[in-house]
Amino acid sequence: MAENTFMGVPREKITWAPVIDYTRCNYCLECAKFCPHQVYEIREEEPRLIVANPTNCVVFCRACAKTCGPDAISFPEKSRVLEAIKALRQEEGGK
Amino acid sequence: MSEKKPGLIMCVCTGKCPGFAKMDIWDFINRVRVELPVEYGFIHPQLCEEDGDRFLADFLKAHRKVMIAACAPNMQNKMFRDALAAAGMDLKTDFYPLDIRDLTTEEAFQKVADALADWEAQANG
Ligand code: SF4
Ligand code: SF4
Ligand code: SF4
Repeated sequence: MAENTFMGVPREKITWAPVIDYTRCNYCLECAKFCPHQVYEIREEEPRLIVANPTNCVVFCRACAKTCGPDAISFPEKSRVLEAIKALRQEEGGK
Repeated sequence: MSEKKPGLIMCVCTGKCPGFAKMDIWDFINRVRVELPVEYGFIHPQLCEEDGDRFLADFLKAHRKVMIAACAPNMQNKMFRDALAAAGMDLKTDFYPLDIRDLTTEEAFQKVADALADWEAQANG
């Protein structure tokens, strides 16, 4: 990708990524298998699955959460993230 | 030929995702809409987001068969099942989900061409 922005804001400044609830996760790894963006990393040690590359996550995507049987994946609140994007865009000079 | 050609929606995960990095999405969709037996082809940025749900609900009112070229079919089945059901459409015969991630433009085009032929053959028994 030419430049890594979303809605005019650098992607790394946007806090959209899955959060794994380890009390629910059964390490079926369906989420990691689904996501093509290398957001998740499967490891030898515990926890066997981590969100390794949060900024690879497609902003406002929740697709992997739909693969998760035990409902162990959540995301930040969309309206808050949207507000933050707008504020950052203003800071960046109203692009 | 069945009487109504399907519509093709390409979904690009906001267009910012590495899954489509190897392909020129514009060349892909232009070739599909001009060369293949679809009624039309177009790009939606993020079909599984809320506005995508709203769009799909509207689109499906036309009862046109739809091929969605996007992410994993099992996931698409889960994500779009309810929208198809709400429109009174049949997930098995009116919908064809296709994974076109991590392909080149040519590979993705061929995959769609083959899938359309396969779908047509299925429809004709
Ligand atoms: S899909 Fe859910 S349960 Fe399975 S590994 Fe991912 S977070 Fe854990
Ligand atoms: S929300 Fe989408 S992009 Fe993000 S980790 Fe899940 S499948 Fe990957
Ligand atoms: S439907 Fe699939 S390709 Fe489209 S935005 Fe959702 S996860 Fe990405």
